[in-house]
Amino acid sequence: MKKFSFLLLFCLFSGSAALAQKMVSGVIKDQAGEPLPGATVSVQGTNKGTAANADGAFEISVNGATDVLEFSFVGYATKTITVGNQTTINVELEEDANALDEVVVVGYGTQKKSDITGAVTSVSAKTLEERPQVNIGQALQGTMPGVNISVNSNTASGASNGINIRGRRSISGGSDPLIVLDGVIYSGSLSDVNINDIQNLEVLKDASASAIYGARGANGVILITTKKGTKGGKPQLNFSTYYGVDVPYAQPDMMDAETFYRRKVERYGADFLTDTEKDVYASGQYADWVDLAVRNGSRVEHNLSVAGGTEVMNYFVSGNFQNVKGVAVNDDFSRASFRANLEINITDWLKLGTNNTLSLTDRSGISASFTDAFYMNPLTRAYNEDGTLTKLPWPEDVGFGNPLENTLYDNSDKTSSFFTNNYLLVDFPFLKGLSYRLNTGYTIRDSKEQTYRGRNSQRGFEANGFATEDVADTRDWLIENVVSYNRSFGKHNIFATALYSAQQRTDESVYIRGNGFPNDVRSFYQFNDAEVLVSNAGYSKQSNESQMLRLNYNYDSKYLLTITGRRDGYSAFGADTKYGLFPSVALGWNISDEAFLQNNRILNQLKLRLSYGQNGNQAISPYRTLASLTKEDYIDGSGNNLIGYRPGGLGNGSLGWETTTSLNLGIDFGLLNSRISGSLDIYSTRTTDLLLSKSIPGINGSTSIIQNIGETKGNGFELALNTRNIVGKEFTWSSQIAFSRNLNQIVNVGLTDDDGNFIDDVGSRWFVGHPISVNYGYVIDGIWQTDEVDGVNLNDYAVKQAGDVKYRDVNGDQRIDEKDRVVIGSLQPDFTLGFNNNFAYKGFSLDLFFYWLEGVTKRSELITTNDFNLRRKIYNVNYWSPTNPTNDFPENADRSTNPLSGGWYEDASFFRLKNVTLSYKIPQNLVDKLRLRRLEVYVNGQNLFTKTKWSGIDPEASDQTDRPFARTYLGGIRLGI
Amino acid sequence: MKNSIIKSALFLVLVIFSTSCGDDFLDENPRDSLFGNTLFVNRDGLQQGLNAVYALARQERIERAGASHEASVMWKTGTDVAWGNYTYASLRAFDIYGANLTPADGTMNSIFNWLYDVVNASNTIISRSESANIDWQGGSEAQNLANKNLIVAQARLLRAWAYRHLTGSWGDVPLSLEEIDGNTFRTYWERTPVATIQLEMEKDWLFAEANLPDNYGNPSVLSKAVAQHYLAELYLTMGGAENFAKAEQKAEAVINNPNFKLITKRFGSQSSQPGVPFMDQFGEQNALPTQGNTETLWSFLNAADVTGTEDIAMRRTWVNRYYNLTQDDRWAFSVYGGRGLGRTMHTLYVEGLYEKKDDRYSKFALSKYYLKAEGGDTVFTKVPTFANWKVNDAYWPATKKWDSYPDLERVDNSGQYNNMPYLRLAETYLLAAEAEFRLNKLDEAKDHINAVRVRSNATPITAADVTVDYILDERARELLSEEHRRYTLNRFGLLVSRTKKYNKFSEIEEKNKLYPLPQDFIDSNAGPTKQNPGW
Repeated sequence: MKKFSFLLLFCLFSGSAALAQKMVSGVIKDQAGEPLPGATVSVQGTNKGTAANADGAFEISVNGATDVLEFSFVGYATKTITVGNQTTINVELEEDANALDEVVVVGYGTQKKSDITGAVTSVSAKTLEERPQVNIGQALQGTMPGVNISVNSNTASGASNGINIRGRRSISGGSDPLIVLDGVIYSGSLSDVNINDIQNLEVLKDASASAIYGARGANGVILITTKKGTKGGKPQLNFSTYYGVDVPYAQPDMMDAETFYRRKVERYGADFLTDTEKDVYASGQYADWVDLAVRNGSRVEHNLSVAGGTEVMNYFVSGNFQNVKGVAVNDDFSRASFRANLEINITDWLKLGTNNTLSLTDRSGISASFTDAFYMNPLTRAYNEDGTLTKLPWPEDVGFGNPLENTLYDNSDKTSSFFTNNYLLVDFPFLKGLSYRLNTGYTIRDSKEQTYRGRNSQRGFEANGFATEDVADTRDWLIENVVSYNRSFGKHNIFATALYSAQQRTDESVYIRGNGFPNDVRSFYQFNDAEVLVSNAGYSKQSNESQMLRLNYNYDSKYLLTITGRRDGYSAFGADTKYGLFPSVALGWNISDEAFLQNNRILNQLKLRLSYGQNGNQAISPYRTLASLTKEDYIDGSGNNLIGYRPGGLGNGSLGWETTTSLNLGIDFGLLNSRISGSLDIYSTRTTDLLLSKSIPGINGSTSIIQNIGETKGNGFELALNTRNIVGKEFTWSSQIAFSRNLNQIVNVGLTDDDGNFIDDVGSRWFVGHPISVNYGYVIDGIWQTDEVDGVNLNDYAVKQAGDVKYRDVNGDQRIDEKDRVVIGSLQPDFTLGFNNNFAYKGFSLDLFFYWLEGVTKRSELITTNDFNLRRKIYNVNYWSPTNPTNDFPENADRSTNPLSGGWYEDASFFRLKNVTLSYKIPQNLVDKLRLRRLEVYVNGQNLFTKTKWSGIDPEASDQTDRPFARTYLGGIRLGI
Repeated sequence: MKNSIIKSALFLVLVIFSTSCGDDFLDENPRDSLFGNTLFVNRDGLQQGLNAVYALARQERIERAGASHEASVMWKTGTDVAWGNYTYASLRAFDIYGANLTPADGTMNSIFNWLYDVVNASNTIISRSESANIDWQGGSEAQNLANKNLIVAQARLLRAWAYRHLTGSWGDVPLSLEEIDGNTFRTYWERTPVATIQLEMEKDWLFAEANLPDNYGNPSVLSKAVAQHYLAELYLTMGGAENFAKAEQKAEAVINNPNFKLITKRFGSQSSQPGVPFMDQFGEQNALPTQGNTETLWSFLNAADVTGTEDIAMRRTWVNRYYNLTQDDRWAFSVYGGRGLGRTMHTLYVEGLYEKKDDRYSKFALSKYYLKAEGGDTVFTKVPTFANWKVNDAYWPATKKWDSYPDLERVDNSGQYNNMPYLRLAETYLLAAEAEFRLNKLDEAKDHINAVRVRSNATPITAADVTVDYILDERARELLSEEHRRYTLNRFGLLVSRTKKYNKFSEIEEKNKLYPLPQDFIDSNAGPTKQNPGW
């Protein structure tokens, strides 16, 4: 350490003195001659830089003729020009989706991408524009290696996504990455963020990059920066709108009514059927429940923004409206959002900024119960003769309500959120390079959901009207003090950052439920007349306190070093374990800047990165170290309530954070003048002190307790490859590949055998050497055939007779018992691949995006013997019979043909044409005549083609009895003034 | 230069370490929750803990872990007296056994854990009551002690009640007698021999007997009669002449308690309508001593539309699917108390046990027919021959004990929300008779049996009639759908043979005398977990 300090000091003092300054100005344009507002200009070897205004104009001070100016802009190749004698430098930047030298946000500051030592990946506004989606998550799927996004359900809000970075490492904690919006750790919902407002989005993947977020960064960090106006730019107005339709596809092959009838008669005889079933069958008016619950969806979006600035301020304001009708009847989503970003230069050393967004979302309406609809007996009645929904579609079996009943409920579900980020930036005039930033964030999120079940529904009828109201509000504040010192001394560049931050979030909720109303007239506004009223109030608060130090040092931008340390405190941890310290170190080497690679014709860019460090995951919610009592009321002899409380669980006062230690080796490269460029990262992680809800014997009055036990490890490989395959005057073709392979596995779950070896926690389904989530159970090897059962005691095989399922005797002891349960297939993909192709010809641009996920096995929920004696329908299975000796599915018989509830598993890998966009830029002379700046029309298609062996609604869907997935056909227009 | 670096370094350090929130910034104060150390500090708080244990015990009659039958069919069906009519996968484990019952059975695992919830909730009250800091709110030392003993006695009674089920179902089970919290929980448990646990149960019930009230005037405080009843049963289970004598003595103590009497005359809310005294006990608003029911020792308390309500599943379990008989008019049938699922019915053996004149076989006790409210044909129930005895039979007559309390507004609710008798004096009479039979006091045994019979208009028996089979027959007649038949049969060593003889659907074998230890317990326990014999 001491040696290192000396080295550092030596480096610092060897810097040379400053020379006389002069001003250079000019205009930055693209190949088409359009100005590039926001393009950055910097003086190489310093941290001095500025941005072009709305007309593409810039002005920058340089030290002398030998200074080299670097011009860069997201999506364009960086250009360097030696100043020489020029005072005016006009630059034309070439489009290049693979630029390696833009300035990127790294958390508590920005850095040139070439100076970064960590694994950082980013997406630009342009990519997002090609993917017209309601939710950011869906738009990002497959675009960045290592960023895994799963679309779990096709809801109107598009919000049913799982996001994880480099896989799931925590067993009980979430794997959601930390989201930082305009520098503020954001506790709101991604649904509230307008995609059109995003300037760029960066993901910090390795320990070096995310260690600055300490105990909160173990799952990676997503940094979202919203658009800003440019200083001195003319106001620019952008308007865009689209309309699209969603057409559901891929209905699973469930038993149709005819088949269902036949199967039931086959099993029980025709007399067994109830009158309703017989009547419906005779009438031929079958109920196709899923079909009744589904519709063609639609989506519309309007977005308007204005950006600009003067010498002392810049602004960006926008308004956005979205209205989506999902493919499930009654699944509606609308959102209006407004943004105002403003930055004021009070003096040349003092800047004040504010970023504000207001978002109003409406999810009113409840869709049908798809689980009920999928399994519902088709020989039943959905409608009464007067066209109203039946309360009991099958009067003889009143256990089955109408699956469409939810659509009758009066439901209002609205959320409003306001997020404000205000900051003060001081560049201390007395000490060059020293700056201070006071950053604050405040989030308000209020939601209210009201539901009334009237007498037209079964539930409402029985309760004489049933109303609920759920009100929740969140308040979250954050204060950060960031001090930075950013200065170059000759070839020594130092960038030091120190942080103190405090954040507190309070959640409060009130719930009211009432029933027994005089009538339905006032819907959910009649609690005062309820016969029965139940209510509850909730409260939760969590606090974080953090300190962070980061030192970036580079020599000549060739040799890079980053050291960080963060200390975090979190209120939910135990009294003695509230604080944790998270260090990291990273090295980088820009090899291509070395003399031996200068002007190399093949390899124009090469950089090595190596990082090692620790992150935490505060995987528990507040109050989990405490054992609160569970309410368990009794009654006295007069029917009055007697309040009761009993032990509800076991508290553990010594809980702490989970620690992920990771090592990352990365290479950034550019070949053939960056015709081919990309990054390759390999990494390994080890997560220790996992917070596990460990299964314990129920003797303890609880079947689980949370402990810091257990360990997972993982490794992976990521490749981002950008190629410009054809670069012609009029035709270009470029591709982007994002390949990820991530393998995580459990190392131990806190259990050992007598010899000290780690063993599985079968009760919790955690298996050493396997990923965290697994399929586990008995393997079905087909069906016992008539000629196989002679001389076999089927009782030993847990079944009765030919036609029953044949469980695999895994351990070969000629007996089926729980020892024969095994892990089946894998829920962790072998790899995912996003493959984007862009073809441009004159004003036309065609974007084709493919997504491939390989190597996942899932249990089919629709192929099941759990048919409730054919009171429910299932998948259209091929039943065994003596004359149909299949191995597909057991006999259609009134006995337990699958007593151990084995499952049928299928390959859920898929290859999908996820997104196609064809856009046309109206020629500039025409646009000029219309007095516009820009005019573009486009059509877009989503999920147009999927190749999979999966038989359910969609291989991605987390629940197979859910609304179908859809193809989206969409057309839109973008114009600028 | 040097100066500036030092200055900036100082500034950085200053910012980082000078700004800090207060010391308590990260302290937690969950304002919407209660904790043991904030609630169990005085009599009122411990009483609330006790209320929860009563509520837990009542869960014996709820649907558990996705089942649609009361939990305690596990101890009633799959025997000589009850079989599965409208059965389904998770019920077959208890109705039929064979391959249907595995250690992983979800309902069985859930019942095991629930019983230990009762144990731990009771232990918490018992352990915390020993703290010197409890404010017993008595005003005097004597009253403080009385307050304490009353609460501890109830907690100990209910703890032993849970061990009765645990030992009765699984035999040797881990014994836990102290509160368990986040610091004292264990993953290593050994099975304690039944005999050892029985000694603890005896101590608990003896303490309860000594400290509980004589009468059941407050239906949310159990009386000493319950403790004595269970002691009588425990001594019969433990066996041996000395214990049989103790059993007789404890049963007699209940029978001779002037606060409890068999119901021999019509009473209560339906007494002006046709009926029989026996069934009045199960009538609407007749379950409590305060309502005139002198026979109940323990009634599960319930009410609709309060937070302490519970969805009791007796009707769903024991009432047949009469609505399948007239498919056009479901709502009219609500006069019969809503929808039964016909999960479990009495066997043909029980059906044949009664004299025609026995009130317990009358149309008031068993459903002989169904009437439609809006007129039309009467639908008569039918009892098949042994050969034609099949499952899914909506004509099979069902007990009407759980039939009353119709609520037209809630006809489709799954649960029942009325007070219900759980433990009756009639069973104590039969325990007394059993003890006396064992002690060869056949005259006394005959008298106790006859007391139960005569009340229901059945022919009295003679001392010579008292046999093991007769005791079992009488229990079946009297306690249909109430009795934990497994324990009774196991007490006589007759579970397997009688079930094989009388229940044509059961695949019972020797190993079914005990349930298999739950897989969840085996998987999570670090201690030795030898399965029960045959499993």
